[in-house]
Amino acid sequence: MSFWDFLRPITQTAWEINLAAESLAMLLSLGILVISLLAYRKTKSKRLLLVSAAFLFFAIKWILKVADQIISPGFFFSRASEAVAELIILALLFYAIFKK
Amino acid sequence: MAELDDALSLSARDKIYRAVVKNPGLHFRELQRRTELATGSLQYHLDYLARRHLVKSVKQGKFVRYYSVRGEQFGEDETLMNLLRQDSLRKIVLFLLTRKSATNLAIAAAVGLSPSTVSWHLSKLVGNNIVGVRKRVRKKYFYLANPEKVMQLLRGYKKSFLDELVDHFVEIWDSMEP
Repeated sequence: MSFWDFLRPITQTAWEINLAAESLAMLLSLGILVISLLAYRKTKSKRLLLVSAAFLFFAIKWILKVADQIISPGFFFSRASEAVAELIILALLFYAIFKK
Repeated sequence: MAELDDALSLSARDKIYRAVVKNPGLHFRELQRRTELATGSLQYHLDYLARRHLVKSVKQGKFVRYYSVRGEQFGEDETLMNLLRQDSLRKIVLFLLTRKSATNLAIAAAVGLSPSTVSWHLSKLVGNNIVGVRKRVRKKYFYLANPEKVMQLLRGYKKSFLDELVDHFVEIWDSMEP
């Protein structure tokens, strides 16, 4: 039994719960966005504004991914678009970490 | 009043003073985050406000906390409020609120800290006359000197679950400071 055969049941299960997992990820990302915005409102820190912007992109990404599954006719949110969104998120988080 | 207006004519100074009046007991870093001023600038303005007797600083452990002299006063409750802002001390005080008195070991078991840590915290509380101690059969029993005042302050500073979440979120990002 190869390594890939061992992974197959896991990927199969992940595929079966894909919509539920993506919906949950979307809800959690919205929750973190709200917390980060409240943290910014409380501290007025520019770092937390950057973090909030990162989580905003994160939430938008997940909303689009879920919308893709439920309402769009095909794959609107391509892997390329996802890569760009994640690049922006990581850049914002990276900048927030190093911003004084 | 004219003296106050004169001292607060600079917007940065006014910002610092308002932050201190609104949030008594803030430490330097928190004050810096809220006012978004550089360390040197904030220190300069705080010194200026202290010289004009508008703000006073109180050293509490490793933190220096700032209070308004003219604004909202906490008077003798100030020390208690400082201590209640610290998680471990708040846990000990909260536990003592539920008992008439308790030994160091009983407190340590209830709050999940080591007896030596609890002993150190208790010495601070006893030193500030917040907790009293009585000896009975070779054991020391600790009790709150004024439980009513503690309850009154705790009610005023109670945080919601969302406040806790937001504070933890801020702490996480603070801990990542370069």
